Amino acid sequence: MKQARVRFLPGGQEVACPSGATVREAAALAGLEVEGPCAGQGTCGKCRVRLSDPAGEPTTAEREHLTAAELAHGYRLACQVAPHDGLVRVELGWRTYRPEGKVLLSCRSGEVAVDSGVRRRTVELPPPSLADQRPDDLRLAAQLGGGTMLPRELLGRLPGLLRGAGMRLAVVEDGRQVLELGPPPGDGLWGLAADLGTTSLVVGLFDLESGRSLGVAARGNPQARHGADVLSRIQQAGRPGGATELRRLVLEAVNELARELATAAGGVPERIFRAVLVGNTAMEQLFLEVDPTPLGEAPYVGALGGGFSGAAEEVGLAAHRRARVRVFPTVAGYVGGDTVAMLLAAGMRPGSRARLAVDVGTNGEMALAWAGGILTCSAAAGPAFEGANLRDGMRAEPGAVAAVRLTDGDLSLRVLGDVPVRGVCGSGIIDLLAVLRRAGAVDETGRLRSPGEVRLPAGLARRLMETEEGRALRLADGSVRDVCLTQADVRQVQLAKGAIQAGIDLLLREAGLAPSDLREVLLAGTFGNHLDRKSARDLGLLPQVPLGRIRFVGNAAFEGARLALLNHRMEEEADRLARSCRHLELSGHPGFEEAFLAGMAFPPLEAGR
Amino acid sequence: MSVLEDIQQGIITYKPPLVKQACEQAVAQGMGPREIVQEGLIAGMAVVGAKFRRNEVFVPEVMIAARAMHAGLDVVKPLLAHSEIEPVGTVVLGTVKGDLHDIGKNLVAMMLEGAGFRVFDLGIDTPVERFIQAIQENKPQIVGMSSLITNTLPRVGETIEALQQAGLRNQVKVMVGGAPVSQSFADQVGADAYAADASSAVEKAKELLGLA
Ligand code: B12
Ligand code: FES
Repeated sequence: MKQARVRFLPGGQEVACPSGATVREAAALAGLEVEGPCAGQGTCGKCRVRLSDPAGEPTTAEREHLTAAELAHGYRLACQVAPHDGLVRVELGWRTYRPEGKVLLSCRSGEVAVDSGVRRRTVELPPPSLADQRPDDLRLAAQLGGGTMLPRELLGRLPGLLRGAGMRLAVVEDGRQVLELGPPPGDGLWGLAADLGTTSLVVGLFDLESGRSLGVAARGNPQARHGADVLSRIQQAGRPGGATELRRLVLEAVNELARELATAAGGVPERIFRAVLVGNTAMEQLFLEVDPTPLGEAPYVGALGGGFSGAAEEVGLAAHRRARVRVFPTVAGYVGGDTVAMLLAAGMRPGSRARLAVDVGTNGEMALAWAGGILTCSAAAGPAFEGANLRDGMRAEPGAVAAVRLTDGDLSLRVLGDVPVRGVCGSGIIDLLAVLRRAGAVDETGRLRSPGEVRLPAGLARRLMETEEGRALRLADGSVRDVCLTQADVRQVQLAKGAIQAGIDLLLREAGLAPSDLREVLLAGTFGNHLDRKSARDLGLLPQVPLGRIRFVGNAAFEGARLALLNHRMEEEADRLARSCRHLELSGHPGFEEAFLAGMAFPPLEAGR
Repeated sequence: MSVLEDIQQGIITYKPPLVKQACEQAVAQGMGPREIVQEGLIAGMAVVGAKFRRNEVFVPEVMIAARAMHAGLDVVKPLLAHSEIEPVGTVVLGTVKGDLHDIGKNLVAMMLEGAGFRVFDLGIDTPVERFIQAIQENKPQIVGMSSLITNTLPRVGETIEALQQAGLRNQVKVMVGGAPVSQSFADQVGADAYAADASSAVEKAKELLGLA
């Protein structure tokens, strides 16, 4: 058999495809990543591509996810199909084409008194003489103040330094620990804050003396090639060499971002003298290569309750080798350091003003602060809001329907980017369902009504159709494949919503509060910040409170990391917060099933809201 | 409308009190428990099950329907004890070790009961030994295992292996399910049947016993 060559479109990258390799594997060789939440197992159906010369018989997985018409038009699953010979063109389309782009983010930052504990000073030492025979270490200590700790390496350099530099020394200290002696490699002291998300990594560089942001950068978490959700990463970590590989992937990505930011700021990463990283429990453990396997099975216990603190050299972080790296403490196996950071950023503390903070994601984390303390819980929502288990669901990328309104009796769609509609992302699906609910096209139980059953606006009625797989609503026409919302999609959203809603409901119940007692509902995370508040509330995903009480807090996890980086008291506060949270476990909770079933329904329509 | 139709309607429209009332009425009319169960309760549940499979109704509705059915069964049960009715079959059912999800499994149990099976529900986080013990004690024809997380899928294969070693594998049919489970997974671990939802589970169970 001849070796095939594959050319990827629209980018035009070309690679030789080893015999038997799949298109997904060939893409990896070309440095491209094909989206695939199931990491190539053939179960998610999201790696759909179009081949100029479809090779061989479709696999069972392909038959399951593609229609006969699609197969006839050359559509295949990238993780299943192996090009045999000749030159094969593969259209990735926007849907699967994800260049490893780096997004610069502006950082929404609150005020913080800068007091990181890292400082530098220049000390002038009286030269040794017969009259002053103090040893070098004591000579330095006398200038720095008592209790200063000098690492072996600096101690070794001390005699040379003291005699060479004319007794003037620049000292960088973190608390009592001396980090550097001699001329520092540049004139600023830098710090690094990072949010290690399952999906994306956000890293920011800050000036530790002024608190000023020197740049924030983000990119996809390269571990995603081993699966979109945390559970698949945990599984991968259990395979031989898996944990080492996962650590390498995330570490290299973070280091690359750190180097880029440092270069852009006109320096080297060695000027980073402190780092604070936050992530969910599994991500933190993977970053430190602490076996996360126990998180995959009951009773879901993690290993980093207190987080971690150690030197950059030991961690492998691109920073000054002695810089202290702090990884946030966690509350529970599925309430991690990122949630603690969110609590810190949102200023959540026990008090008479009851406040709820929610991070809606594949795993929804929520925290309730009220007079009785802080309660947390986590509810596995599943990837519906990321589009993974919806027929035409996708992430918020070009071609995604991101917002929906009803105008003149028909849907008006806001599509990301200047491309045709390819699918729907989380915010779009929430809007769409809210619109359909208000128009009466979806009933309280989540059933799509038929046009014969209820009077629908004409435009909307025309979009409803009956398919082999049940009722569906067409969003956009395609030559081979329409973009649709199916009845099964609505069911998936109901499961996700039901889980989140049940979590909120049980937190409130545990605290003896009603939704109306909530003075504030804070939405954190990427999805939360793109959500339409009214749509989310009207579907019941958020508690029934006046819209004015629902507030977006941006990337609160990253913001929490920044606060702890710039102020050491904030870091201590994070430890206190982590330990004072009471975790409400939903697995095995006697009230969960009822709350979950109730949460799957949509609230009745109320006039005048 | 006949009283049997009332029973069915009560289930189809999710009204446990109506079902209870109609069953009491049927008993008062001297109707036999077998007829009430078969033509009333099971027939009603079958309608709901079919709608569930088509996605027309969803988990909460099926749960209420199942509860309505159980409200009816409670009325008839005392009579059943004195009658000759035998369960269609016996099933031992549990969520595998390491997994605490049980809503799907509960639904399967209720639907099986609704179809006349006797079900021994072992609950969640079920170690292999509990499966073995339950099989020895209750002599089921079918063992059902549920796993909702991919990480605990290996427990399904391990449990089947253990049944083999305990010399029980030939005495029971193994049925598997849960969101990440598929037909190909079932084949791989050597299970006898897979079902994607609770009403298909009932059908598969009947097939396994040669009843369908
Ligand atoms: C509800 C839920 C929970 C509840 C469980 C409550 C309970 N008592 O069961 C709670 C919130 C406690 C929970 C916890 C966890 N969950 Co959860 N959970 C879900 C959710 C939202 C719905 C599951 C469900 O009940 N579906 C409804 C039922 C009716 O469907 P079903 O279970 O599939 O069952 C049907 C069929 O599969 C079949 N069937 C089922 N069993 C059997 C058995 C047999 C023999 C047969 C024939 C058929 C059959 O018939 C059923 C009826 O039709 C899903 C996400 C989703 N959208 O599906 C995640 C999900 C299953 N959970 C998941 C996970 C990982 C967890 C956690 C372990 C970790 C976490 N937080 O993410 C935790 C545990 C730790 C913790 N507390 O945080 C993941 C699994 C991912 C994976 N890769 O494997 C999912 C898919 C979400 C996700 N992607 O993150 N979860
Ligand atoms: S089906 Fe190919 S990556 Fe999921």
